[in-house]
Amino acid sequence: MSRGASRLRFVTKIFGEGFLFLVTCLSLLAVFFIFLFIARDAIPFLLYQPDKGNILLSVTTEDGVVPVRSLQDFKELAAKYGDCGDDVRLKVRLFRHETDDVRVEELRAEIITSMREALTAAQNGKLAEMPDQARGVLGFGVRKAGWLARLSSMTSGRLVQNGAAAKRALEALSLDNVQTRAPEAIEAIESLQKIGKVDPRVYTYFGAMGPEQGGEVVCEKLTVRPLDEKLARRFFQADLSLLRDFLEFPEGSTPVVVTSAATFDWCLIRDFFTGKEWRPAKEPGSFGSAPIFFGSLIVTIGSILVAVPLGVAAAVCLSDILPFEVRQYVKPVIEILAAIPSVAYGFFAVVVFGQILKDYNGKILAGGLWLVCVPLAVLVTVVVADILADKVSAKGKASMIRALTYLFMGGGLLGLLLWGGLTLWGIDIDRGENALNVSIILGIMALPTVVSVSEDALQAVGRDLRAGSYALGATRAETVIKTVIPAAISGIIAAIILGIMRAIGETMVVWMASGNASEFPEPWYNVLKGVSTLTATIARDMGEADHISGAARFHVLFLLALCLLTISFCMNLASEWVVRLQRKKLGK
Amino acid sequence: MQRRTRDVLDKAFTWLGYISIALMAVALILILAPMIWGGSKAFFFRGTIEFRRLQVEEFDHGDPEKLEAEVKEVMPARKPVYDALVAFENATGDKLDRYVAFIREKGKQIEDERERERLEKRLGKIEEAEELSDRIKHMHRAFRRLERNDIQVPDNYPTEIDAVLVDAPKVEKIKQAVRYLLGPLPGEDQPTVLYQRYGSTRWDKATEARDAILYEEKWVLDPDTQLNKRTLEPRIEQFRGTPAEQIFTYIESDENLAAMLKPRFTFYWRFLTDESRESHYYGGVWGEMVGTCALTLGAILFAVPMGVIAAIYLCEYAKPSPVISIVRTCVSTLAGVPSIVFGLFGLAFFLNAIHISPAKSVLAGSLTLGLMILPTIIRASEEAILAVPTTYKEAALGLGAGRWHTVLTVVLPAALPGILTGIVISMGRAAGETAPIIFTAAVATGGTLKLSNLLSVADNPIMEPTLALPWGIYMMCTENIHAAHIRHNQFGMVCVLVGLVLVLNLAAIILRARVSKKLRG
Repeated sequence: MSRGASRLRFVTKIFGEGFLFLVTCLSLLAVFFIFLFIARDAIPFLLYQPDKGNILLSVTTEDGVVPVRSLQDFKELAAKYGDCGDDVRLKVRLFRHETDDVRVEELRAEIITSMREALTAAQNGKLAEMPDQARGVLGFGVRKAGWLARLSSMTSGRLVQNGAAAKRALEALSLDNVQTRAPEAIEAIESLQKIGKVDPRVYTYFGAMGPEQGGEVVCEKLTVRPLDEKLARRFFQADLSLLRDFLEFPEGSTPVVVTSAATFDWCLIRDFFTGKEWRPAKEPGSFGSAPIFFGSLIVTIGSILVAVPLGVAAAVCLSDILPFEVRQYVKPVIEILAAIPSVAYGFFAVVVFGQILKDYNGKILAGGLWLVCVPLAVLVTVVVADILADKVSAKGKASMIRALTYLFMGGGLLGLLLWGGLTLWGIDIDRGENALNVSIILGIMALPTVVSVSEDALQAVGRDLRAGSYALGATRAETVIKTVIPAAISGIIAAIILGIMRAIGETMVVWMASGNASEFPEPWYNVLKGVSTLTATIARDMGEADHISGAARFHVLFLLALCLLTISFCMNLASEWVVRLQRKKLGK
Repeated sequence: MQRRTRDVLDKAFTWLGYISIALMAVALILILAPMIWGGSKAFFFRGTIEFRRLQVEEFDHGDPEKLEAEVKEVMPARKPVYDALVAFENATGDKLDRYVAFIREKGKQIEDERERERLEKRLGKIEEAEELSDRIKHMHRAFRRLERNDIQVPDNYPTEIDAVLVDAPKVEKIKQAVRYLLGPLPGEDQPTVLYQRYGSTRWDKATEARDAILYEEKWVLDPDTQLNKRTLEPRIEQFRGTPAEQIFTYIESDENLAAMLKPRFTFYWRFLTDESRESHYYGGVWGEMVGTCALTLGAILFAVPMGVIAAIYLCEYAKPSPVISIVRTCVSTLAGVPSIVFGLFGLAFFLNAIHISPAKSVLAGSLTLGLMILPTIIRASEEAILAVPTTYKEAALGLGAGRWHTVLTVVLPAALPGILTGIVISMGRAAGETAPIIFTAAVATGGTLKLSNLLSVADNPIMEPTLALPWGIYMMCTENIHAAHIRHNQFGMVCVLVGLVLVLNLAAIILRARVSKKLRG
């Protein structure tokens, strides 16, 4: 082989392997980036100062650059420089806070009415002879709907779809082809109707409507120049063009937003974790996440109570009890249980299971209690009676003790259960969406994970251990409980950890069926009250938070996500560590 | 412990195992059965003539001429209802007209010229006024003017006039209910909103609509429990002795209702291929299906090459080193990241940081989903590659093939079915996952993705937001204003999604069965 060829081969090998290695590192990169970007958006929350008014513009006046830190500053400035000659460079109109919600409603109604009018005319074929005024109405509607679409896309992810659809449809509805595009316009009107409330603060930032729409004219004659673009970008999350669209800016000038010097304060973290009130929509919002962590905790514990006993028992049954032929048919059941999409579980929880809970109230709770506990009570009685009888040598006495135990202990336990069940029987469940519902459904969802991972662990315990135990005369139960499970315990713990992760990380079921109440239930163990978890809070509040302007209520959700991520990361490490322990123990 | 106790415990233990497996199976059945049963109602139902009209007019399915003939057939059956409504309204109108005539007659007795003129003006206003309440207001004033001029009027006139005012909203309520059952009344303008243009399209909804006409829902305070209880009051009592009375007796019989609506057993397979109308009030799930398929395929296109290459490297090339163990930890971390965090990451990274598209888009959603299924694919491929017997590799290497050559021609083909199984399972996961696409791709209203534009640069569908089955289910179940009315469509959509995922998983199960047979044999 020539030297060139071998060098070529070497180079391709290095590059090829390098390429493969780089692709492999993608997951490393992904994990790194996920942490980085979630943290990047979470940190501003910790630097945020809700009560120090961290808006607004820096304004160039005749006396130099004046920073504007609050609405009040701005108004004072406007009063001072309001009429400084003819050098009109910028018209800024700000709305009052309290009128904004009403304004949106009015605006929406106005758009819908004007669109309706124009459409009726269009449908009757009268658009051509419509006076300019009516055409204007249509154009006005289009413009405003676009604006509203933009606005709602900034304020609320959930509204984007409606707003964007409306905008698209309305743009399609240019004056020439209004006749043919009428259905789309109707759809647009419909979707406009669906646009809900718009975050009022956005109006304060971008109040750029003509005085004919009732805007309060604050300042007409001020020049605005960039002061610190970096800060501005951070505040508006890099899209200054948005501002330009809404304010009538002269060429070349940039609106600038100055945040007051943000500092890091431990108080914020303490308040975040210990605060009991979660009201992100308040002004200023209160972000106490303790009830949310509590909700996650209680729901997870509930689901683990369902999933772990059932899952471990099923895993033992699969690995030690069922013959191979039956096992083949059980495995797909587990797989299908794992494959059903979470939103379908959520739908089931809301529409079917929640309804059942609501219809049957305490009866279903009592039934569940009896189904689970009566066999257990019988078993415990029998075993205790046997053990007690065992200790007595005389035969007649033994049977008497047995009978007594049956009578007192069995009767007592059953009476206790009867009392408990009857207490539960009388409970009235006023809403199907509660922690209990979510716990049970999440338990079923976590079941496949628990079963398959712990079954693997049980299988990994070799045949020789079992054979040894059987040879010593142990029953199957004794073999499994005293030999196999202790040997596989770390694998089972890993399975439980993975099950917990599944339950903590689940979003849709919780969002749909938990009742979404971000407060402590009263009393705290009441699982029939609504709760809210980390995941559901993120999903729900992100729909209402402002995706772009970077308000506190946006960043706080990233902080929640960071907590979630950290929890799952630690649990993952723990489960890996436990699995490694098991491997070492089994000598593999 | 005695032998007997040990036996009891052993038996209990065995039964515990059996019961847990049985519970799992029961849970599966309990969850799937309502979905399939409810979902079947979206496909199989008794469709009325309104359904066929909807299909012809909105979706262009079916024969317009046949429909027209059918419409002509039902018209005579509907006529009594419409006639009774018209008669009732006319009777109300007649009453008012009689009063007007009465006032005009009496007005002639007024001596003062000016007063008479004013009364005439008032009467003119009564005739001009469009709203019934306005007419009645003017009527009261006219009567008062008569009284002021000392003209004898019946004592009970105010209550009688007000009775008309009471009747009017009642008839409006029935008319609304009749519209819900039969569609717009004859002579009315076509409503702009689509769902008002048709009556009940399904027989089950039609009987509900009939009940809404027959009974008025009222919440009455129950003295025992101090709670409001729902009671149904027969509406006919309010209309005793009026022409509207016969509506109730007429529609009460199933035969008449059937004659008005001509229900027929329908297999609506087009539920899969029709787009939705009015946010799923009518129509099917085509838009959602296309969106979900696009998102899934996008995710697969991104994740499969990356995942398989990573698996090849990890199995065939990597030597144990700290870097590799970190990579492995990262793979399992990635598998454990909650799906909502992926959604936030997609928003923060793809949309807000690198601006992959101006707003939510299929591209951003696919990449997010792809990242989510990456670890599943890596693990499945790794397992498949490790399951290839080493003898294959040794033979190839022995024949002088290079390492890369061996991987490409021997290892990958042998591992392919296993890899495919992993891919199919992760497709199911990507199709069903909601949280990652909420902020990155999914919208609830809008058109179907125009896949024909896939190759064009401008308005490429992958830069557009899309409908998607999981998000559609969430929105339809919780946010839709008609949520309680369109349960059949919700169940239908859930059924389609679950069906899609189950078919994918079934494929994976079958694929794996064949693989294991092959490897064993």
